[in-house]
Amino acid sequence: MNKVKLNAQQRVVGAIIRKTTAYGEGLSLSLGSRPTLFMESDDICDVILPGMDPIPMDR
Amino acid sequence: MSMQIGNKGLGYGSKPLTEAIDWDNPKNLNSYTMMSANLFNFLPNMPPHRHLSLYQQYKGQQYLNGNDIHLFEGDYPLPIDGLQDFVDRISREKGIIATYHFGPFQLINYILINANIPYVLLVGPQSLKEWQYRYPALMKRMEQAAENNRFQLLNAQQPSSLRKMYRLLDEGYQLLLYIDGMEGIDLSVPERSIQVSYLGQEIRVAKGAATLASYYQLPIYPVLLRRGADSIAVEMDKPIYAALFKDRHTFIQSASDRLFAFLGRFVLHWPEQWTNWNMLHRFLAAEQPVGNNAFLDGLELHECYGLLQLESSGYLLEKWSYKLYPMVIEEFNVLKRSWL
Repeated sequence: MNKVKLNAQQRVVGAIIRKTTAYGEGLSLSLGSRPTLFMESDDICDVILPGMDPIPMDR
Repeated sequence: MSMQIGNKGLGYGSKPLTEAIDWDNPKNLNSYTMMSANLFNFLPNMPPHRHLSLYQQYKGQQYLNGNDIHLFEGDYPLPIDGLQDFVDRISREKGIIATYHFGPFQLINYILINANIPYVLLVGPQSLKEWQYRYPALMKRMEQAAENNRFQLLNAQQPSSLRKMYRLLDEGYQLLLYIDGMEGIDLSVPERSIQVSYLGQEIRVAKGAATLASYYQLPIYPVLLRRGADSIAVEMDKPIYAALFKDRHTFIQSASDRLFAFLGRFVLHWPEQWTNWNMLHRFLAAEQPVGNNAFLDGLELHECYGLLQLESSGYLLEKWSYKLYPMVIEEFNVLKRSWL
């Protein structure tokens, strides 16, 4: 059976993800009613309020 | 380089051409990542490698929506299929027009004003400010309509609005609501929202439209505007009548189910036209989305994970679980260069 060969970049990416996710459960994003780090952040999306045109008027 | 969209089309039929997206702008990065994670969980049959092109189409739609604002100053140039049926339908009996942030979503205001149909738009206080800032031409028309007693803008959170609304409905005004908005939904107060099935997940949504329909005994007219290649289509569902239900709670649940089933029908086929993709996770009723991890087999890492940036901190987002992992910024930049 042939092994899938990963290039150097894919190996680095895989290693970073394994290392990043290895410790702890991770933080919870704002789902439903649970207030979290990102709940009120304007930076999370370019649509701050749903439905509002995210492209500035002065484009 | 910031994203530029070709100057052809401008709502006259052709699709806007998208060029490179500026991924160094965290709003683009975060918006794309959240949209991709929500597509992953709400449209699992869409191959994740399509998410990026869908995001580009979504940005194109937003551009056309932005461009529409200027068109409200004069005559709207695109034909609107189904317009007369819609006007006839709502002119026969006043009711609650339940609409969505789908397609050219502001256009319904232009239609109502031009058809001389008096209506009340109920929005949250933040939306009120945003509309004044973002849609000056439309607001100008609305103000003219208000002077002619054809339009009223009411703040949904003001206690006096209910009384005003009652008076205006009595005078023959229609009520217009964008029912898929987040503003004003305090999900920590269960009685203000209701759980519905949407695209294979359970979400909580505001039950204002159904509650008002029950309170005032008015029909709900579900309607959205869909952008076609060279025209706009008014898509209507059958009216929902509160009077057909003896029990108020059963009506509110049934009406909410129907309103979101109607939206889902169009979001499934024209996902790029729904503006709220990157906020959808905030509607989830459960702490975890329903999902089959067998879907993960065979996917590339960048299809399962995304990147979020908040100020100078970088995070890895596990799309299927919405879990976030803080990253070392140098490693975050390696992934960003590799994936985008």
